[in-house]
Amino acid sequence: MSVIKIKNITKTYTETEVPVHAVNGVDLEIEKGEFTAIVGPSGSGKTTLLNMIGGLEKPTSGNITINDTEIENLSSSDLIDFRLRNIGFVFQAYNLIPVLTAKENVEFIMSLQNIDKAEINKRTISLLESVGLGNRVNSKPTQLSGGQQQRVAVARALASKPQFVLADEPTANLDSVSTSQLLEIMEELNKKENMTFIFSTHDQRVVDKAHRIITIEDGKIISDVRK
Amino acid sequence: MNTIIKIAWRNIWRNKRRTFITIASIMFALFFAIIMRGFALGAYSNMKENAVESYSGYVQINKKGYWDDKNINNIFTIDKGILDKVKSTENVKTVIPRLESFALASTGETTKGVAVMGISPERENEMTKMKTFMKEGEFISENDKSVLVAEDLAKYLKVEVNDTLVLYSSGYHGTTAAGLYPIKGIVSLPTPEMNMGTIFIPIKEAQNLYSAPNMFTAIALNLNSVNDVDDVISDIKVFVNTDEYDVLSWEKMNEELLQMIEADNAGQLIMIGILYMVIAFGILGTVLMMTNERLREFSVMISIGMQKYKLAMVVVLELIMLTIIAIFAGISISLPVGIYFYNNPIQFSGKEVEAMKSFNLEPSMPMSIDVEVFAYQALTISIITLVAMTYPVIKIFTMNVVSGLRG
Ligand SMILES: Nc1ncnc2c1ncn2[C@@H]1O[C@H](COP(=O)(O)OP(=O)(O)OP(=O)(O)O)[C@@H](O)[C@H]1O
Ligand SMILES: [Mg+2]
Repeated sequence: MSVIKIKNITKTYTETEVPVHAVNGVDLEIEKGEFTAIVGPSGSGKTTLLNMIGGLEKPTSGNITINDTEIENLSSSDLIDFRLRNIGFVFQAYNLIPVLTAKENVEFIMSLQNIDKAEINKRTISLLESVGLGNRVNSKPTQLSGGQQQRVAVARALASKPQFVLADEPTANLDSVSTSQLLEIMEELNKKENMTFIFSTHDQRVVDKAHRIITIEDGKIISDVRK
Repeated sequence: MNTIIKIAWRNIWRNKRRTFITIASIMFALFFAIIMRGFALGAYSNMKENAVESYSGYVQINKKGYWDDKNINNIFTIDKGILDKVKSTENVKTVIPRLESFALASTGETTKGVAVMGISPERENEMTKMKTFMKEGEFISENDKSVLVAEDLAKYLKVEVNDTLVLYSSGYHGTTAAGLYPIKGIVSLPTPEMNMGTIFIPIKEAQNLYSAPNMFTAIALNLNSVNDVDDVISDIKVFVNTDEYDVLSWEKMNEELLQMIEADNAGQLIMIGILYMVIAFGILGTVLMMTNERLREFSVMISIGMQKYKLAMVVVLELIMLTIIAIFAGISISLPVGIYFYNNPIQFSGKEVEAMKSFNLEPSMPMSIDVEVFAYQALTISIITLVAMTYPVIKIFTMNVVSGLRG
């Protein structure tokens, strides 16, 4: 069953002097439980593609269906709710709300979903334990290393029980130890909870961990390999 | 909701230094504004009170046209029945009859033009507290045939208690008015003008002097409160013939004073306006910085599923809490100062006293600690932050989340 169906999407930026075809005709389906890396040179359109899948940016043409919902038809506030309930996000850095502790950051997304207190509490602790931060629950983001912050972000992304997690270069700012720790955690969650992950990366070691590798260049998919 | 409050509260203390600077600037602006307004309003009400209680009373009944042409021929008799009705009008505390005119006061060696105030001593004292101004000698009583002389006038005429004065003038309908009066006391009057040229005489004697038995220039009324003025005037006008009499309010009688107060007040409001303008730009600057440095954070929050209105609520709450803290701080430093100066008005000394006296001002500065003084300033600050608030709110609703993330 595919979670994401993308039909011939394009994204053209026209505010620039010469129009930029950041994404130029992409067809793609992502199945439940896949662990997919999107790779390609800088400027190839990875971020743009992920942003469109995540409903942060509208395609210039084509359509994106997530579990039977055509997201381009949603109003902007419905789209925010849709993201809250269906998509987990991990960005490259500064993902967390700086004034909240690790625990509160994870709880935050569930409180937006109006999940009841007891459930939030249980889930938060177990998520933070599963990313190896059971002992740092009350730390503020500034008291955590970059790798630890990214792990909290992963825990937060999963807290809302999304359909899939989008991670745009989640390891770009991490050293190799933190990178492999984060990857292991994502793999583990992928296996245990059958969580779908789509992440972009420049890092060959990250690419090696992926089960499916999509390569794009100039806004087009040039290869799509399943291992 | 709890989360929103929590985030807002912690955000305030995220940049402690900036928060303290913002709070301090609002606090000092409030302090200056409150103290300035407190002194001004205190002085204004003091001046009004002085004008009313030392002379005009809250309401006066005159012969029609007297106020604009204060002439011994513009005097009146009034029916005892009507006077009783005035006395029993609600909120009228004292009815104070007067017959005042001018005369030459002479000791033989020196002569000076003076205002002769024919008063009913005890009743006059009820309103003006004249007895407290007594310098020497004794206060006059209803049936005395003697006078009180203002202090500076007495010096000028080189007279003392028990000396005798000649008053010479023209009386009602051109009769000659002349009399010889022993001085029973010397009074020190609050304004220099009055102190240099006033003589008080029991009203019966004044009526004799001016050949105007049972006649008055004015019936002044002392009321329970300034707020009763309009009611009392309309009550009185029911039974007093307004073709024959004027019933004037203290405002009508003190027009010049009120105009001067208004001009002074306007000048001060402009100054305070400038002060607030400076503060407004300070607040706006803080709000701009606070918004723009957090665009990435806002983008992340919206991306992961926070509705924009909730995010706007966070920012609005931050500013509301900041404002409340600042207003609270501002009031809590100005209140003790206000209370202190309310209880201990600044007393001027030396040269300033003369300067103030020459403007008919009392050489002391009382402070008003009316709620109004505080409320207006707090309200102004609130309006400023309310306006400043629109910036982040509009920004949140119109910002491009994607460029915020790339940011
Ligand atoms: N708002 C925009 N206006 C104009 N051009 C844009 C805009 N956003 C992105 N682009 C262009 O679109 C192209 C794709 O950008 P994108 O960020 O998706 O690349 P990327 O593969 O994520 O690159 P990187 O690996 O460096 O993150 C680039 O040429 C970029 O300059
Ligand atoms: Mg990118």
